[in-house]
Amino acid sequence: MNFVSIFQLSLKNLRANPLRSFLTMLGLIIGIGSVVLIMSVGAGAQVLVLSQVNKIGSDLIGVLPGASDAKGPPASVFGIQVKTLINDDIKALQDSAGSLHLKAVAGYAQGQAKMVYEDRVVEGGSFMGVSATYPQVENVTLAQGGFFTPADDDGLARVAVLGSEIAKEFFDSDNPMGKTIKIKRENFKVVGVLEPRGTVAFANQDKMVLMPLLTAQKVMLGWRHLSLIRAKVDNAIFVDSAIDGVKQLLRAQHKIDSTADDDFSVRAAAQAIDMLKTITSAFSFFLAAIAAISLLVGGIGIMNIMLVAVTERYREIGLRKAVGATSAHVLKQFLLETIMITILGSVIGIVGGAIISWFISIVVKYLEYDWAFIVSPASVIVAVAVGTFIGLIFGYYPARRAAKLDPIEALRYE
Amino acid sequence: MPELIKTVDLKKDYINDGVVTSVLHGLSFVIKAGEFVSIMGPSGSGKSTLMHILGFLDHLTDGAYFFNGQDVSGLSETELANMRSTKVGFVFQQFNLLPKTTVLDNVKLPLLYVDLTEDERQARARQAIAAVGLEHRSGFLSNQLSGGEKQRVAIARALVNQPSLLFADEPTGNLDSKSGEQIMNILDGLNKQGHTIILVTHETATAEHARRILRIKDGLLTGDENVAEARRQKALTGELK
Repeated sequence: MNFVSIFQLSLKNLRANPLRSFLTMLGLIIGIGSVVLIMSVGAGAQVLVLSQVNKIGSDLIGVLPGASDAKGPPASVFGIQVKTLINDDIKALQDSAGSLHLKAVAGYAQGQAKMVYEDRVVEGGSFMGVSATYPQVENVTLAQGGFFTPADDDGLARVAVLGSEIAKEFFDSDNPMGKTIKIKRENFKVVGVLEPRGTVAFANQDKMVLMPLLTAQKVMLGWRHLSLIRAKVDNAIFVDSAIDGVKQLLRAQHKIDSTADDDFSVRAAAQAIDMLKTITSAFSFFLAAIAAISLLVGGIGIMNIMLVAVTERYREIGLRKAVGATSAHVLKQFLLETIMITILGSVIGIVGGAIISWFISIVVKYLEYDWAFIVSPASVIVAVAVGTFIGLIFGYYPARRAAKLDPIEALRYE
Repeated sequence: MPELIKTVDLKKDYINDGVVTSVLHGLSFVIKAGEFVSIMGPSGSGKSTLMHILGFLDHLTDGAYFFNGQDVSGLSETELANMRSTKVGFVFQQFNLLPKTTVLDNVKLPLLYVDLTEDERQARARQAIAAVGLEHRSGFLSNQLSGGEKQRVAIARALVNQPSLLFADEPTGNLDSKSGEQIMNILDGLNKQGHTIILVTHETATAEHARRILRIKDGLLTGDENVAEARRQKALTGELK
């Protein structure tokens, strides 16, 4: 009996019970779909992480309030307020900028508030109080107007620089310069509009309203602390030494004795990439574990159904043996049927996983992040190989049971 | 005619949970090529066991079995499968057709296990279907056929690999008398064309369609007689029922 004959026979048996064949495959479809999805989303996420961090720049270092170790980010990343960074820290860094190879230093204080212009309202809009040095640190350019000055900061001036989208949202094609918007209960005069930037470090910069740091802290937030400090290093090769210098300076500034831990975290963009990769790979491991369990359950389900099929087809097996089939023929036939189920399940899983991944890419792109929809040939090969392997492993026992049947007993089976 | 089957003191024991049950107690007989023989006996006499051994579905425990002069007593499982594939054909009481499968595919089934091209399989299967007069039903599914037609398909399937020997195990057991007669006449016709046929039955009226009857009781051969031609003709025309 040649392979083509066994293949045709197996296909016919699968088509005879389409619903059962589909349900048999379902666990595997979910498992394989998950594998493809994980690999695809993982690849997309890497593109996203790289693009986000590249936009910040590799010559940028960030100081976050709160301690952290090399394995993870500080608590402030997850929105927990930590008050260990204050404005004096910015000043100290600026004073030592030259020796630390820092070109510019800026402090940040972030908040949310209702923003109103005439009849247009943005609930919970994001604003960011920033130092006047912000444009040098972040490499931003203005589409209109200018940035606020250190004097604006000291004078708690109610002036705002708008992101391109929020400017459009409030003013459409009108010129926003000199217009007044209300943030919380305060009136702010628009002095500039930024060029579109997209999402940077996972925040949409174009929907942000920038205001002087002290204004944000004292008038809007009632804080004395900072959400973040960013510093631009004058040359990327000094990033590591700058990090060390910033750490020493801030430890001295915070009067931390030599045995105590830092109460802040200094990170370079490159480290952020590693950290985000750690997070995404942890997430991938989690999904991979789910996929593995699903594949195992799927495999057991397939074995179960194939055992039922063997029992149901006792007489057929007996007949095949009576007309000349050897045990090897029967083994091959049942094994191939299982492998066909698993390969077909794998193909459906691949297509399903790719569709979900594509859908995710549409959603993420809609949120204006850089996301690539990638289904690599490797993931397809892995999926089909895993499917075939499962077919072999879980199909062997039922196939062997069928092959070992005594034809006389099988023909008598009622 | 040359000897097709020769058994010498053929014995068969079954062992179940350590208990030995002797089914055949030493049978010796010869069947020549071209014969039409009934193996007849009551239920539990051992006739089905004998058919299974002669049809290469089972091993004998003791004695010897020669097929076409070759000692086939100690063949391996694969060798037995090869013998079933090329030397014998079976017609069962329950028809044993594959469900939801066409007549053509059912008849082709034994050819899947021999080395032929698909065209050769098609041609042989169509020839066998024509031999039982069912060309017009080739594309029908097995469940769309009457009982008599199903058994004719089973005969075509048994013939398709051009065997030396055809076994029919109670072939009319599940049929009405008219369909049963048709089946027996087909078997008689095949015998006239030169096919060797062994009919296994517990009914005298069915057994007398053959030219010779081997009677078995309690695992022993109790009779070996030829059927008078007049009586055989009556059986074939249904007058014995």
